[in-house]
Amino acid sequence: MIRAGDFVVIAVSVLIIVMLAAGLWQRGQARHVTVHGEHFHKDLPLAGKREVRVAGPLGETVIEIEQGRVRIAASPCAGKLCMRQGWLETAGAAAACVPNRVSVALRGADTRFDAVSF
Amino acid sequence: MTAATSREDRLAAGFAALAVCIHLLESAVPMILPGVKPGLANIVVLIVLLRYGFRLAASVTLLRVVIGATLLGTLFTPTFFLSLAGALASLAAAGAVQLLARRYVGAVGTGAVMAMAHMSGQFLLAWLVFVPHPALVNILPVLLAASLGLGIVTGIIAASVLVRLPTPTS
Repeated sequence: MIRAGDFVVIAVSVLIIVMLAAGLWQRGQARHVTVHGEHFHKDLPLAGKREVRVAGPLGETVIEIEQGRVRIAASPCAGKLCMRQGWLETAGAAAACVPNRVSVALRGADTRFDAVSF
Repeated sequence: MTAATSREDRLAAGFAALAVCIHLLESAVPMILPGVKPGLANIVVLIVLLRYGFRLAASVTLLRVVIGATLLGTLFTPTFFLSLAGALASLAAAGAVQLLARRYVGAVGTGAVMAMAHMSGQFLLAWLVFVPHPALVNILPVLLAASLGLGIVTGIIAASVLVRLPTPTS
């Protein structure tokens, strides 16, 4: 009563739904990150895993990029507010280490907000 | 003078009555997600489709939509047109499956395709005509996933009824 074609139909349906979801839901996701320092300004892709070190007046700020999200992993400032922002993943989100003059901001194809605070 | 009724007419009337009853009972059950219903009346349509063919299934579906809406008082309201759009899309999908893969796809696959087509047709009308908001399309994968699951359930019920029915005499 259940035929082979039924499984094919269900598999294809699941595939269509997953592709539709992937296509529709990544529009709000960030695509690249703008890293800004005193003598440093770069747009970096968010793909993959990497570490970026930016020199500032206090020392080196370590920015970590990992699978579509970014955080300030270490900074020589006193307050560590930038590190406490944690991982950023929404397009428009930003974190800054003002004492060390380093900032990161996420940009996407469809940036819905100028900035996001949590 | 009485109008002549064929055997097919009587079958359509009987199965449509059954589908209308299920439709009415289902409309009394509150649903968690707006736009998602089990669509149990489609069990009847599936059984008719696989036993008697597309024409009778189309008759039963359209009768179910019109009579169901009349009894619920939603005839020619947006609800009715959403229901009709879903039914027509579902029928088109059923016809396509019957035409292309009748030998390979049984009640479960057909039910799944019909449920997803129903949801797509209904959603398209809702999105293009009633609520043309660009963000609405984001919920489509959730709705389609729900309709796929419910369509499979409908198909399994229809398949288990079909194996218990005697072979049609015609």
